[in-house]
Amino acid sequence: MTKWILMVLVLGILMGIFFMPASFVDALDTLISAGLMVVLFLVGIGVGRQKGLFSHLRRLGPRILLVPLMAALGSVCGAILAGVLILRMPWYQAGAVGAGFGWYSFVGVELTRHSAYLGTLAFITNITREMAALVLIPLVVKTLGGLEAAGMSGASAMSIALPVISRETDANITIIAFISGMTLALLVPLVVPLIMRWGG
Amino acid sequence: MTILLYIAVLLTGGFISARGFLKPGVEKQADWLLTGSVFALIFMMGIKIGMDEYVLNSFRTIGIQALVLAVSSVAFSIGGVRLVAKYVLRWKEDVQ
Repeated sequence: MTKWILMVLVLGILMGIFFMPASFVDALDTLISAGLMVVLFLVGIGVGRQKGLFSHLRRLGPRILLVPLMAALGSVCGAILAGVLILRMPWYQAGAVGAGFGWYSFVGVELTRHSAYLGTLAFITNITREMAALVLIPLVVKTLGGLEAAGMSGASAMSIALPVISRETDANITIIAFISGMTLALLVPLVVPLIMRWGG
Repeated sequence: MTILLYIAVLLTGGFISARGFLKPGVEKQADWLLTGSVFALIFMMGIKIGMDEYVLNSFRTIGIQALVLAVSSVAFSIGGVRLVAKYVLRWKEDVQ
């Protein structure tokens, strides 16, 4: 699956570079939004088919929220470590980039308010993260587990990464992935400015 | 607002399926449709990236830095969730 996702993604990028007219951009946004709704509806159908799902989730209770919280903590700490030790960046700038959790459109705009360079870095880092997550989900599910794949996907676990997670795992993981993605998406607008305020 | 829409669409699909409004054959077709839709979405996402000059140019200039930050973020996210899955949720015993 990983190689197919990578091939389709690369094919799409090449199509975008060489063949698509600029006027197609608006239609593309509409198509992506509509496609996402169709996919979420189909994922919902898959989840609804599973018996005993909610009793499993009830048994786990609020502990489920530890998945997005640890994914968030890991993402911010990982970015800070790499930023400070490898890239020699200020810790808070690296942390804020990591706190985008894959939501590139938001974090890019938010950090552009501080500097154009930081905003661009955040945008590209988080778009890279989303692409990496999409491509790596099948591999991570197979070698580590579905929850790890959900955490790795960040905020996109509730949108574009969700159908891939759903396809590779089961309804339990799919619903936790959605909750994780949603929690992370809600955290981004809080954590990014907070880190910038601590550092600045 | 977008999040609410996502939740509503997901719940609608779940409700229709859980209430048994779909025939078994249709459910199987839904699986195929999901796989096809996933690839279509990824393809369109690729086109969107390919058409965005700003993104492509930025990849060339700060791509390595972005890659370092992205890889580290992803790796530590996986590590954090692995700790939870192994020691707190006891996923295999509790659910599977």
